[in-house]
Amino acid sequence: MAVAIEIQGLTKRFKSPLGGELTAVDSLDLEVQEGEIFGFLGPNGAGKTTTIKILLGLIFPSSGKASVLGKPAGDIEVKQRISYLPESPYFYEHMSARELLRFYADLFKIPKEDRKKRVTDLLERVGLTDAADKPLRHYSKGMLQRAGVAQALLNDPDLIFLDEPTSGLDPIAHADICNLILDLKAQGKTVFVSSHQLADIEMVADRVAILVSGKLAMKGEVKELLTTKQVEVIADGVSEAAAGEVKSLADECELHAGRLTAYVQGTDTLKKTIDLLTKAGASLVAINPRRRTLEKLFVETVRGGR
Amino acid sequence: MNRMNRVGLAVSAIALLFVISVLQGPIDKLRPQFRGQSPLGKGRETSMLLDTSLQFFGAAAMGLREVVAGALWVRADEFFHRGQYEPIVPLVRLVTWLDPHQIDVYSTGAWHLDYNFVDSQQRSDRRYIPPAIALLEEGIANNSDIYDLYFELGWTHYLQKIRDYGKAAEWIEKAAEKPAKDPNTGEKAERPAFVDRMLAHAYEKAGQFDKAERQWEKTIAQSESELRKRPKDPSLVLELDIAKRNLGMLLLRRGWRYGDMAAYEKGIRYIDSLSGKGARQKAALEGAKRNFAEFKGRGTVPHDASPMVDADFSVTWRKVKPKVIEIQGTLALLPAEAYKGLASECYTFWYQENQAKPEAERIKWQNGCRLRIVLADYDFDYLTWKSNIRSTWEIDKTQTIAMDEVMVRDGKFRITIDLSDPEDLSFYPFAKDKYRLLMWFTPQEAPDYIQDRIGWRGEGLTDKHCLDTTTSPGYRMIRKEFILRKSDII
Amino acid sequence: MVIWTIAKTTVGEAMRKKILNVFLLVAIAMIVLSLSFTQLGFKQDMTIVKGLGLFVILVAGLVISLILCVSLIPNEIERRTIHTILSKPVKRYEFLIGKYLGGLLTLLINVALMGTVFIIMVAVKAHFSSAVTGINPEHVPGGAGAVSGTIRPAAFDPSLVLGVILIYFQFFLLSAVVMLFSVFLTPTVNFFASAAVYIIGSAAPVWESLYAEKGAAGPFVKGFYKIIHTIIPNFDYFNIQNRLIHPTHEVRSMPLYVTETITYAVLFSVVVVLIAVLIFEKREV
Repeated sequence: MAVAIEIQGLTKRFKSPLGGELTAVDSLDLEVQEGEIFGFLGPNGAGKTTTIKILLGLIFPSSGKASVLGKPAGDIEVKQRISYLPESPYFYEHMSARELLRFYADLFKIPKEDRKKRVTDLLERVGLTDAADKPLRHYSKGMLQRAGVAQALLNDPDLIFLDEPTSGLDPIAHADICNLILDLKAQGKTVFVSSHQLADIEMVADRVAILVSGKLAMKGEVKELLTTKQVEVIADGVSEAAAGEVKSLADECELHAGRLTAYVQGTDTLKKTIDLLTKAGASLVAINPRRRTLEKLFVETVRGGR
Repeated sequence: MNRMNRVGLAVSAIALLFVISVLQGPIDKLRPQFRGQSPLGKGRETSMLLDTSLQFFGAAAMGLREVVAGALWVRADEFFHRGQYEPIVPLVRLVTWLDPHQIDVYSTGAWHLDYNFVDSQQRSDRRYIPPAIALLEEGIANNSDIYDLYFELGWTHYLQKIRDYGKAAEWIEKAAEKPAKDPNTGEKAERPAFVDRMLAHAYEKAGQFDKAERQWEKTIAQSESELRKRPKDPSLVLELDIAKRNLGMLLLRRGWRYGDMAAYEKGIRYIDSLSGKGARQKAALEGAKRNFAEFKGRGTVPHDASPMVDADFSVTWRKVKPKVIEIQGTLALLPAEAYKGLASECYTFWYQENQAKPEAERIKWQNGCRLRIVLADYDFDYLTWKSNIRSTWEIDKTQTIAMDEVMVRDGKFRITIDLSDPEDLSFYPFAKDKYRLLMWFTPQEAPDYIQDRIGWRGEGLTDKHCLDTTTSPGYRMIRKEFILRKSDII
Repeated sequence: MVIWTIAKTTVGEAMRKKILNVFLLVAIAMIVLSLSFTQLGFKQDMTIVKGLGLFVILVAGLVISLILCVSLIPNEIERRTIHTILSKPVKRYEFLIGKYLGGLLTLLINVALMGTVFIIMVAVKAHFSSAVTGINPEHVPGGAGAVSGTIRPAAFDPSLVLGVILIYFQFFLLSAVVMLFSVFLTPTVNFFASAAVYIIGSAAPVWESLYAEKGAAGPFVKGFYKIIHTIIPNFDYFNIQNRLIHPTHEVRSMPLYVTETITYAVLFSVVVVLIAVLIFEKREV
């Protein structure tokens, strides 16, 4: 599969207002494959937006290389095939959504014949048809975000950069965005998402990278990163004594009001635990492979990274 | 943008800067005239408030020079109406420096200088005449394309005020070469008819009779051409008549005074061509025709201005009290008898009508002559000074020049010149030790009917003691001068 | 095309800026009010009407071009609207020139409006006036009689149009300078820096007189002044107020002068914009 984004040894330093230098991105190496949804994570100030801006050609690297769809970052021709939804997008407030999309359509040099239909379709797709001719300054945050999504889809891009696409949105809007991202993947597009909404990323992303203080702390496929070798065993009616025995076998064990939750590794240990519980007269409720949450992984990585 | 493009852009920028530098040459050459300075640099000397640092004020004022100048001029006008004349001089210089094209400032400013610095007896301060001339000459240098200020200088100052008719004619002649302009658009407009008429008058007063004749003829031709375009315009008919009458009279006088028969004949033709002649005019015309025929028949010519008239001039002065001088005397111009047998009588009928009156009602003297008087510092001789005015902004406040005139009535005159008012101290400082009391009469300033008898150059004027033929060679005038000490006056 | 699209949007945004509209309205009101000045005769009144009117257009144009252009680029960066534009296939110079063009168009609309009102006011005043020609009747006891008359001045003076055009091109050039500064200065600093350039450029007669003074300076000093004369835009060139207020004063080659000056404005603006493009290429947003 072709590479949509390739970053090699990317470093970006800024001059600090107090003198000296601030390293926002430090020797970053990263690859994003075409057709995947890539989650780009990190705490505030990690360098996520800086990286995106370098990829878009808005700022320039201090050293290292970055390429987008096979061309150097910032290449004009490539911009015809990519799009960007910034965090809390700002648009010309005097324009309506329709005018805004027409404006961007002109920047994409979309022919006039196609423009009208595309704008109308997009407005409908993001649910702004009724408000299409009202000035943007009267829009709520959610409506502005939808306008932003519309402009990001205007050129039917191959690669989309989404920076905090669900920030400040209600649960329904959240779900809409997640569905949209999945739709885009189904269409074969590449989506590069930077977000704090880890639950959303966990749901949609194929691969993630975690940036901490400008450095790459973790990257990999979501499934792999979140899957563990442990198995979760849940049983009810477990006595203290029985729990104590399970504790010696398990990695983690917790008893609460008769309910035992234990995490064990290996088939043998699993078998021994089940036997133990059965003999102790407990009722087995569930036996599942253990999955970590992305949030947990994130927190561990960030704290570890510091 | 790649490196090649960037280098290319930078090189283009530098190349363009060079082109701009070259383009600035022709712009810089044309620039001064838009700032109101003549590109040839003429005409700036007399308003040298200017030194380079003062350009800052002009530059800093940016778009407001003209408005500031206009506002300052309104102030100057206020000073005038309040009777405070002193600030007007520096204000005028400042205003004209700020904006050299406000024509009214030059004309009104010069008028103030020449006419409005008056003492308690309404005599104007002659020391301001050179600055008035300086102001107008500067105005002319800065606005040389239109007739206005040339005419102003010639008519208001040289003709009316200074009575230097030669210079007046010179300047009005220049005015007649320039067009008028629409004050709003600057488009050339027709010069008003009075300019060309006044030029003819000025030539007459300056004794340039041939030029006067040609100028009147030109005016007549212009009026006739205008009349063909607008035949029903009564003002044009009037204009034409005035011109013809003036030319006719000029020619008739040349005939009567000096025996120019060609002029006499031509004059008759012009008078004959006047429209709307009344009974008296017709009688006068017939008289002239008969008179002309008589002379022609006799083979002689009129010579009204030839026989000498003795002016019998005498004058005495005395100090009435400090700074008050009384002057009195006789000037026998002109007794009624002097008009007997003149050729002009055929037209004027003056003598015969006067003789027809009862003895008690007869006019014994044709009055109208003025004796001009100057009491000034010894080094100031008005008659030579007026012909050689050097335009300058300098006013010597230690100078004393008192000028007045007295009408001669029935051969006599008397005047008291009072310079003693305390308010007039600055006008007449009497700072020197020696003074000149100068009196004169010159035929050029006399009315036509006086000139009819004694001639325009004073050809028929004589006097036993005070005839002056040297001050203005070729001219005869009456002149008397006393040298006074300070103690004679104060 | 892209530049035109950005220009149009800039105009749309600028024309809604309240502060600019306030300046425009105040300027127009002042121009109309100057009509009421009737103190002295026609020529003096017209000096005030024309002088004040042109000055108002000049000041309003100055303020509008400064306020408008200091924030043209910085606003886009601060509000981050530039991100959704430059992330699209828009070259940086296209964005910059588009913004500049939009500023110029906004300025054109404002100056044209003020200029039109001004020319109409002058025409109205001229139409209902008459001017004394010859000796002022007040100067002659008993009236001037034979040596004065009145002229009905023509209402429309076409040279006023040239004057307004030159005022516009003055700010055409200034806007380029302001925009260049806006690429690397904050709006506040830019405002004062640009105002300083305008004042220095308008004080060109001072530089010129220093440069032209014979014998005052050696070749180095002269060379220095020549460089200053070239690289500082000469805003004084555009001031032909005196000729406009006194149209009776003949000037040689006015159309040539106006053409040369406009060419100067355009060329100089191109240089400034080129430099701005070069700097903006490397400007991080």
